[in-house]
Amino acid sequence: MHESTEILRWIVALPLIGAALNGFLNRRLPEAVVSAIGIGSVAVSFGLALKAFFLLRALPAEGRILHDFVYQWIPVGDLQVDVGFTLDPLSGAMLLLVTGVGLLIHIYSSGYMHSDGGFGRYFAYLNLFVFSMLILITADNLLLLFVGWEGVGLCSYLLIGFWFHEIANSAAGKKAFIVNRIGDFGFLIGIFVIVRALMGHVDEGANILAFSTMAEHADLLAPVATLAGLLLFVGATGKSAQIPLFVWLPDAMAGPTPVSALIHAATMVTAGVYMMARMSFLYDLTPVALSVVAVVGALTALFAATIGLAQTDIKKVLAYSTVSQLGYMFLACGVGAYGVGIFHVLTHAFFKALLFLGAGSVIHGMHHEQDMRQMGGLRKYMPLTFMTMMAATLAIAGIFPFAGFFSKDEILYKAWLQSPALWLVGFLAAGLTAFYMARLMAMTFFGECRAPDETKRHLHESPWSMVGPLVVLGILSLVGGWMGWPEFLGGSNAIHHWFAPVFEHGAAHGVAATEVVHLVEGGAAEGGHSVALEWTLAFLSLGWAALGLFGGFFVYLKRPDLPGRAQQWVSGIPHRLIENKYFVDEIYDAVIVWPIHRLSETFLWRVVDAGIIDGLMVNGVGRFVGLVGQLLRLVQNGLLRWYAYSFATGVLVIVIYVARHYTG
Amino acid sequence: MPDLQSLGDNLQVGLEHYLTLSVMLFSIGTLGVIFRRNVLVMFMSVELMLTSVNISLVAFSRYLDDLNGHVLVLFVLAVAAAEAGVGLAILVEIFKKRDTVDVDEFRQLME
Amino acid sequence: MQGLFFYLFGTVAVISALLTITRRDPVTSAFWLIFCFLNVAALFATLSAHLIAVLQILIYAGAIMVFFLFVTMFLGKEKRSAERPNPVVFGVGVLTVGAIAGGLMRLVRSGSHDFGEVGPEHGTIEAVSRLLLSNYLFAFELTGLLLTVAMVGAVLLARREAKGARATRTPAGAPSGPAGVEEVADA
Repeated sequence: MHESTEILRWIVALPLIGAALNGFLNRRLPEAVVSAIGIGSVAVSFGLALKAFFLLRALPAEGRILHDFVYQWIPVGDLQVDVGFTLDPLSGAMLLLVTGVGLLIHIYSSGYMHSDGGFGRYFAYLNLFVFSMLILITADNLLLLFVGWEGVGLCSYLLIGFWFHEIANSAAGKKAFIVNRIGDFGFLIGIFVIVRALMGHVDEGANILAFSTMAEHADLLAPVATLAGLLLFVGATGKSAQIPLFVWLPDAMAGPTPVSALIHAATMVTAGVYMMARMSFLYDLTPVALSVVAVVGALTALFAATIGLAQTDIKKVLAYSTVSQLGYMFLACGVGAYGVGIFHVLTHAFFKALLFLGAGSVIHGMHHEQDMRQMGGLRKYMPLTFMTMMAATLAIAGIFPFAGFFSKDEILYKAWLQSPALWLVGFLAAGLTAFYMARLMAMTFFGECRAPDETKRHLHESPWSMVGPLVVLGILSLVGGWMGWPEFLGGSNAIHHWFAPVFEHGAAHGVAATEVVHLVEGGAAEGGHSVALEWTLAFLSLGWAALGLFGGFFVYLKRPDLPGRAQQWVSGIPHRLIENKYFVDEIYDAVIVWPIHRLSETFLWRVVDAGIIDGLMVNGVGRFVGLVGQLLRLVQNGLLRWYAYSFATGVLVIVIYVARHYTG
Repeated sequence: MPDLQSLGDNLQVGLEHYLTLSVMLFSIGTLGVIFRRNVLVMFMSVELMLTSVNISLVAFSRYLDDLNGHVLVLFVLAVAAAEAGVGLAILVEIFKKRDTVDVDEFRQLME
Repeated sequence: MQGLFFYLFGTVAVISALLTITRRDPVTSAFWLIFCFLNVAALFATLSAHLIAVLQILIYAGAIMVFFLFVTMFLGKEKRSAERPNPVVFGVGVLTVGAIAGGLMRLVRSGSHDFGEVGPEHGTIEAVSRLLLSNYLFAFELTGLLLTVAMVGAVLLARREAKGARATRTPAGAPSGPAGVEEVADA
């Protein structure tokens, strides 16, 4: 059924080796060597990933799985977990994405982080991240996936708080970590639920958490599918910044900008979407969980987009934009179109990584100024950055033929088939996306430069190590979507056929295929006939996006007074709501953080910690040892004969034991 | 003499007898170590204990017809000699400093 | 005859051992101990341990005990203090040692093992030496080293005093004991 290969373990291990070298030796290595190790390990990994990908493509469509068993990890009673890697069309696409975009961002980082004190540490973390992400993607079982899941969380924490000298940065890191932890808690319980459902019902010695085993025995999972699906989704909301756990992502912008691009835009945050696609056999069993996912995704898309309208920090705008785009991906998964969701992950990775890197380039040029109100007119100074950013803007807004058009349009189409209401929410968000991106471009690159003269004099295009990746990603933002050129436009929708074998299990195994699947499949079949509907929706969203873009540019270039007047007109309340991110952070503070603080201070600190742990346990142990010492002092009296006597009693005990033992 | 001869023949001794003697000498030695305050006598008691062990070793050797026990006794003798040499040298030193061989007076380790 | 000799020498050995630990004067104790060792040597002989019996007399009763006597006399009469322990302590000590002896005796009494016949070469110098210089050669050499170290240590301990304030002449006999023993053992 599946081919065996040892190439996968090397793809995964190389970044780890790079991380170890840079992590342990970084103080002794010059920057050039550090970046050579960091970039080189990911580059070789990317090369091997390409090779593996072509190996995979050479296989017939039904058996497109490469597997690499490394070793048996946990053999405990009925539970057996291996460390093994697997490559199928789904993980293959993600593998190329992570190593490819990862490589570009490593190259970019060597320019961006130039002469930073923590250069070696930075590359060690970044390599470690790539390693964890590759584990997450290629894991052949849920527990190993969880290892990668936690690993990327750790690296995210380390890199957000990379400049830990500033308290705000390390606080942001902690916030990300803790919020993720809440989600991971749900994820872990989800795993437990699955283990409990399968344990003892599957053949002896089977690797029950392996995706292939779980998919085979999906009928056993049916009773717990809704519970497990929702719990796993809780993990996904944490990792992928969905309502209600999205609050960490905007703060995560405290990290270096390439990190935001790699971790908080292109790869890690999409792990939740990947997990859902990976576990699609589970979600196909539970229309309830899928509906929840779809609704949460759609709401997040709209909600985050509105917040993005009023942010002034260039990276914060992009952060909320990312949250919003992730909402789209979950919307796609929620309506059962996992392949489309992953397609959007790919295109989004191209253009959002590009946007972040472009923003990084701007920030680099502006000497770490991130406030868009201080920018403007940068088009003249940084033409390449501007051009690539423009490509990305068109892509994210969904303008034909840029990448975002194909994936977003398909998501909206699938949503319409499921429920026009979902479509409407996504559609509104799409317009807002176009609008705030136009606003970002207008405030940054057009108009008069509002930067102080001092900064203006030093304004320059970034070095080639930074601009090169921008250009590559710019091209990808244009052509990256063409692999999903829809059939109604005369394309072949290659990516759809590529993913098809991964998501066909429900029908293939005759498992109680749910209404949702039927609905989607039926819809797809129907969609094949109603090309008119597809055309209509495509034109609608294209027009809506163009309108948003135009509106954004118009308002912020020609009539900069409009937003203020609009504010006054609606007496400022909505705007204040949006500007303060709907006070979500404040609500969390009041409802969760403050009570925990109070509880910690009054009960946990004074009673539990000071009273029980410090008083009873720590000092108690000390006092007990002291007391025993006092007693033992009496024994240690310096009288040799007393020692001889003690010795004799010891001998007595042994003699008694031996005598009893041997004479019965 | 025939009387003595027959008496000797009637008094059959085995391994247990020698071991019993060994236990007795060992106990006497232990008592000496515990109760005597004169370090010299304590030393002598230790030698007595070592000798009692030698008796049991030789007795086992005889019983098992195995000379390894004899070799072990030789090593015990050598160690006893070394111990006596160093121990007594230390004792002489202490006596020079403190003018006594009463072990209860040697309590610096406690103070 | 073995039985007779066993009871004879055994009784004397136990009595002289008791006298060793009960005499007030260490010199008397030492003489009783020598006597005890001589009897033990005789007991070794009854067990066909000829070499051990000879060495017991030469090394223990001879070299080591002479050394003891020498040191005892060198130290001279110490100021006497009451040697009577308090009765409770005495009782506890005797009980403990008695319990040890009882436990050991229980092990000893667990069977009846008569000595079998052994060959004429059992315990001869030749037989033991062959074993000592083949199987135990390394341990034997190590023992030589141990004795050397002990000798050097004893010399060092005795010499240190010479540099001190009280430059009394150290007894030349101190190191002679182990050195003599080593010669015997090496022979």
